[in-house]
Amino acid sequence: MDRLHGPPQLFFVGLALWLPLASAEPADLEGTWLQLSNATAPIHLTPAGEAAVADYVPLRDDPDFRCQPASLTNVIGIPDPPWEIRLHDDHVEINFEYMDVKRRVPIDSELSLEDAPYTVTDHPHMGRSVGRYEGDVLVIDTGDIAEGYVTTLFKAEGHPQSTQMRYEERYRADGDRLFVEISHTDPVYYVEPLEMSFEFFRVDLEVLEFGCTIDAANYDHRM
Amino acid sequence: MNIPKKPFAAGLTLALALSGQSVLAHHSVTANFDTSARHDITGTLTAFHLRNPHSQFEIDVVEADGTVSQWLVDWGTKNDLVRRGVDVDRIKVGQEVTITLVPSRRLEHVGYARSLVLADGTAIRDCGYAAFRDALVSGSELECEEPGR
Repeated sequence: MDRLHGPPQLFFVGLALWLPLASAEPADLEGTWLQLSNATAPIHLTPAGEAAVADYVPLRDDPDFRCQPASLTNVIGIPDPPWEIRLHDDHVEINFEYMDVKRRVPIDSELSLEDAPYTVTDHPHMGRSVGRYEGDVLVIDTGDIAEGYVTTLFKAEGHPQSTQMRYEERYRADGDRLFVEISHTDPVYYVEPLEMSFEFFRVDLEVLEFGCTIDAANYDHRM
Repeated sequence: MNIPKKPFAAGLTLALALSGQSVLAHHSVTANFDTSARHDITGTLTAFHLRNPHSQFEIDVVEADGTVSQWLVDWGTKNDLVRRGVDVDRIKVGQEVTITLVPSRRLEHVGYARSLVLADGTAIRDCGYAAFRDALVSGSELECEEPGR
């Protein structure tokens, strides 16, 4: 303890500076991933949110039935298909098999969300995104999302999102495991952020073309 | 399952404990089909569509009164079936097949396939995502659960 009595502040400042640098290696994020588990924290809706959930009818409202990915959270959360992360100097590719969602997220700590691009060009309703690294954690902020459903899966099936929703995605790899936490902030529908977590494991699988066909997606369309 | 005990993962562990929910919940199947029910049909396969997000069988079934009912039976995603090694090449139009299915909640003569038996008595089954995932994690052979579960 005596060592700290000299300039303790300097010790902690130095430690704080060293820790992120020592683990500042996001390279393990690169790879192909398959879902191992998911979780949703308790959800706290506003009255408008409660009304929207009560009004949700899957066969009428789920965009998947129109071959339209509902949201980034939904694409990340669907368990079966693998997806991949490819790191580049100035951007990150995130390629999902599900619905062929291909994302190109700029890595730029100076870029504002308002000026960020729509990172899924085929589906601008999924919003504008910009990324940065916090040590070994990839952080992606997303806004300018269309009104719709943040997820049609799991405990939060049919939960809404307004145009004011913001996502903060945090990706951290630990060897052959990948942990993704998504915090959804939306004052229209949620009293507190909607928090979802996913664990993935590294796989040697090919991300295939999905080629969603409307005849296969919607039963009523065919009958 | 070894979940690293690091701060980032702690939130996940806590949330799992709080939610107490099933890991997997595929929305479209449960929305469309009564997964608590089972029904067997036997008939002639008139079409097999291997595609995404669901594959389909079309089957002509001769009813007791001699009339023919045309069934439409959904199945797994093309990519998943191929990836999980399901032998879809053995499925031929014109064959007699028996399908165990869960019926549609709303539509007559519509269901979701659980297992398929060809005319020669051999079965074609999709073990499903959970078994596939578990086999990958453990490095073991893919094994299906018992039929009908």
